[in-house]
Amino acid sequence: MSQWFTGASKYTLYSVLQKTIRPVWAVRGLHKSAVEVLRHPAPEDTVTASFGKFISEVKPQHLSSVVLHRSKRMVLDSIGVGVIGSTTDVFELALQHCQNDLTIVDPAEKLLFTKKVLEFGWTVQCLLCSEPDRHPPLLEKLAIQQQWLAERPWVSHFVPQLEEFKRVLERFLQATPSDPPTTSLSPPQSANIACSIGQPAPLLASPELSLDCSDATRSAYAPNHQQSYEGTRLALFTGTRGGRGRRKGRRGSQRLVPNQPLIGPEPKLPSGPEPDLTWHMYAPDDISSVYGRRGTRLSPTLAAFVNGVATHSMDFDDTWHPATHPSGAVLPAVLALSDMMSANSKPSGLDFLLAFNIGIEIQGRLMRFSNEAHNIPKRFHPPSVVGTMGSAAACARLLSLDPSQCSHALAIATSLSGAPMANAATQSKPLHIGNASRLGLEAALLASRGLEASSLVLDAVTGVAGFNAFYEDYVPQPLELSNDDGHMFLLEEQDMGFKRFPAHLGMHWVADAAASVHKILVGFGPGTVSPAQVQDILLRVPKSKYINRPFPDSEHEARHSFQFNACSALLDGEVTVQSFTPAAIRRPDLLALLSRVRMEHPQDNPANFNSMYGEVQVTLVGGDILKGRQTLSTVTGATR
Amino acid sequence: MLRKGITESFGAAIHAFNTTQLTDGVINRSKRMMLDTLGVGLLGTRTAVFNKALTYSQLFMSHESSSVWGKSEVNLPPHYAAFVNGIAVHSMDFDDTWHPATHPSGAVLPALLALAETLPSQPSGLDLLLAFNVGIEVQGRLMRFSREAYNIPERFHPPSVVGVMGSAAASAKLLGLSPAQCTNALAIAASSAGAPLANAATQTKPLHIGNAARRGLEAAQLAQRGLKGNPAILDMNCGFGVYYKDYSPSAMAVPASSDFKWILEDQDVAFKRIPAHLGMHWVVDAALAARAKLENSVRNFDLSQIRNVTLRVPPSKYVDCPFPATEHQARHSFQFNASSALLDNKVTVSSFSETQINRPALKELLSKVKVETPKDNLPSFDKMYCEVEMETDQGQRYVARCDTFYGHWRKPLSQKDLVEKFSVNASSVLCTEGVEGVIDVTGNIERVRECSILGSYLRMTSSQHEQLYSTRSW
Repeated sequence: MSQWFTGASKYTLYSVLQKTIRPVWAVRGLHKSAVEVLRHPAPEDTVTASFGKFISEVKPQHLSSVVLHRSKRMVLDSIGVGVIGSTTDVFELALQHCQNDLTIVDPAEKLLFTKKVLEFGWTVQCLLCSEPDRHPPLLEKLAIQQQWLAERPWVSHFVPQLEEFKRVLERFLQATPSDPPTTSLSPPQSANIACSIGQPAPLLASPELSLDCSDATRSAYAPNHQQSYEGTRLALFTGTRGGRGRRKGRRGSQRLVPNQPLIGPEPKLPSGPEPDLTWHMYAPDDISSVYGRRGTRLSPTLAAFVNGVATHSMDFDDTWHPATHPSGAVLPAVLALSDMMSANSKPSGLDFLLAFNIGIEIQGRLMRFSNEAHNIPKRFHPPSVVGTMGSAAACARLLSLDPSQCSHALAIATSLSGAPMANAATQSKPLHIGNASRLGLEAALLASRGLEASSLVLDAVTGVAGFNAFYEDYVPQPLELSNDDGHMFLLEEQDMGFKRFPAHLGMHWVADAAASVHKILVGFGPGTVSPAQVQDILLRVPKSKYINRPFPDSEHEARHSFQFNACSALLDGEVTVQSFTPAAIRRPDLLALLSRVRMEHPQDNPANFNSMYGEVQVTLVGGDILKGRQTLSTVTGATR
Repeated sequence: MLRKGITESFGAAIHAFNTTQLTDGVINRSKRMMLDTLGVGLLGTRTAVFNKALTYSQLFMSHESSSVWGKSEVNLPPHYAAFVNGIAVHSMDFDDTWHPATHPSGAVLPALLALAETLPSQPSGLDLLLAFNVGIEVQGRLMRFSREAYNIPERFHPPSVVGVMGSAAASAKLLGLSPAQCTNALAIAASSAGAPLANAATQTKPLHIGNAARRGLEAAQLAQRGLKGNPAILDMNCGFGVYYKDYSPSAMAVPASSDFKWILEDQDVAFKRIPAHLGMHWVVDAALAARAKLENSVRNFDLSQIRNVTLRVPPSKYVDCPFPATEHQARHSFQFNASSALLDNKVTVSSFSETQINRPALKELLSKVKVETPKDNLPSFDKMYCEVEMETDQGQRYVARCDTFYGHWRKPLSQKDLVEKFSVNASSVLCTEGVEGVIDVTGNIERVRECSILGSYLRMTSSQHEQLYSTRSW
């Protein structure tokens, strides 16, 4: 075939060929790239770009009152579920993992950084006070010092006053003879600056130092330097536990501002509980809270990770339709990111809620690209797929990225998405939400640093899979933001299901049905059903392999077992947090009931949260048959 | 309740491997891979994507810290060191390629070196070599669970799928985990696998290798802490099978005594000579040969006399890029690599710089290139070929074909050329002592008492200001 078409005639032949029916291989042999160029939409018309534009440009006024109300309920529920989740084993493991990763820095190394910053400030000060003929060597030294520091961006977090030194230096360099630099920073002021980074004040405030900053004087004080660095370190490590709001308890590192020198004795530790000195991150400005751990701080991405794990650790978090757990991937990420943002750029409550809603909306839009996604999943765990994207979108928004960066954030997040269903009902499932939250935040941070990814990632391109790699039937739609303020959020038409007990959403139907049988047997109030009464239990539920577990071994398996939840509700009249404790799982009465369970999957009961039902039919030893049935409309809290 | 499954067989095998099973062939080949990976990685520490990842990772620091290759004064927590060094290795798409197609070393070596530096008792060079080979072997086994995986991929980028599993297996081995913990490490890692191919030819592709290294290491450490995943993850279609359409897993024999048959023994890797997708090597060699034919027959030939250029290549969407705009696209473009070879009579590291990509002469040549995908040219690195045909204004044709390029596993790089490639790459970053140190340590790795010595050589940078800092005591 390659001999067939040669030379320039191929282009012309191609257009003819396009109109004729040919075997696929013949077309493939042609100038394929030209075909693609024709078929590709212009960059700004891609689905991917439309999403980036939406995230960047949607405004708070697009949030209707219903959306505001519903999303606030989600935030509240998600935090509550997360906080109780912070008592679980899997959370503890994840936290240990992260703490191990980010424990306190080597003190010697930290000392070195402090020393370098102090020396930089010191040289600045020498420059300000010295004669012009001393300037060139000092400037040379400054250049070297500055570069050392510039290569370590976190140093500025470590000692925020470095910025002040840099400003002073700039002013000095821009000064003219008519505006001599020495007037822009008087000796006491310069001493203040030095003090403000933790140098014990008396040392630098002494007149001889301020007025005569020769190298000789400096070296005369050199022996004291080591001591003063030690003092600095102590101040930075222990510090006070004051602070604003929930950032209370962050590493003290006396948040000094210039002209508020630290003069006098070391700050005293406040009374009250011993401060947690195991800081897990250097930068005092980059510390994010951990659910339910008063003294613990982690880096933003790891805080997003452990809080995401906490949220899904009991499978207690909200569920949407099509099926995913939307809040757990978004909320920990935007909370961690808000903690990280500097005081003057903290998002308002409304900005925060908008970012959260963008994270939810993006997940909803993506879920609607596939019909398969409407059913209980078989291949990928949805929060690991759309959750990462939602987190990336919300964080991109909170970081005020531009449309193109927002779509890069989504594209980077796509490379961090997707975990197989087989890890459901194991400790690894909560990790999916934690990772979605963390990696989405990471994708947004990387995009904000200019990292680029595919501009067609959401568009269906055959032969080079993007987001469609996760679906068999993928049909993407652009996300248009209408010109007026009338964007219709999906949350408006599709409310959220909140769980009443910590298990897979599907368990709620069968538990309600079994509870109604319990009521018939023992009446209202406490009391249990005796297994001796029961001959046979028949469950009529949708067919879904990963929530069909006749004899669950662990709490995670119990949360994903129709049989377990039906029997627990039949026995106790309800399913609660306590139902999943190891002791409750191993009760002989419960095991006896489990051994009498049969399952049927009626044709009219699809594996779909919008139309499934749960039916429990109990045959008593005497032959009586009791039946309980829960259809969608009566499941309290479930998605409507 | 569970029968002894495939996943468990992997866990048991990873646990059971010992150094006596390393054959000479495997030791030799894996040492070559390590040396090449280090050189490519060192060169990669000078790329934009590496610097973005490094700046990002410097947000985090920890007590446990690991070296960043080619940076004398930067330390990162082990995960982030694995992440950025993995990115360095794949930043130019210059790292090794195996069959079935994946880049095996980049996901494993950065994780192992980062982990080794933090272990309380230092692993020996032989421990490192064993763990490295376990990481490679697991990737090889997993690739053989699917026929689809033998071809150039269309859905998931293979290193993001098998690489994270290899990193988890290797890290689990170096940590000395139990069989059950090794199984859990694989199960946890499977939840971190899989990045779609659309991000190939962007800055995000190197991140796939960095993340594979990082998240595999993380999976092994989580398993060490007792975190559990599905112990049948490799057995199920809804487990590791989600990444393939024709998944058919098989158990791994637990290695007994010393007669284990390594995949690396049967199937060597390819080492790249140019920093581009492996497929580009065929088209470059063919283009150079076609150019030589033309030069031999036409005196004072000018490339503007070429009327058109036809490339006959295997069908693969993501390396078919008619007009690349970025270096990452250029590394994934048959058209660009053929045109560069025709124009410059060579393709080198600098061919992918922005100025070279934007040359008008190159763009003009690109506009004359057509791509054909003959039916007999299969998208497999074991079977593909490239043919380049030039037609001049006078109607003369010059054709050359490359079936096996130099560096392919059928025509391996000589040890001299491999070391030469490393030296050139590493010298862009390291001083002579560092370059020679790495060559020496890698060459004798099975006899090295503490493998972390590699890390110290990898930090011996050559740039002038760095030296200034290490000698000045201001």
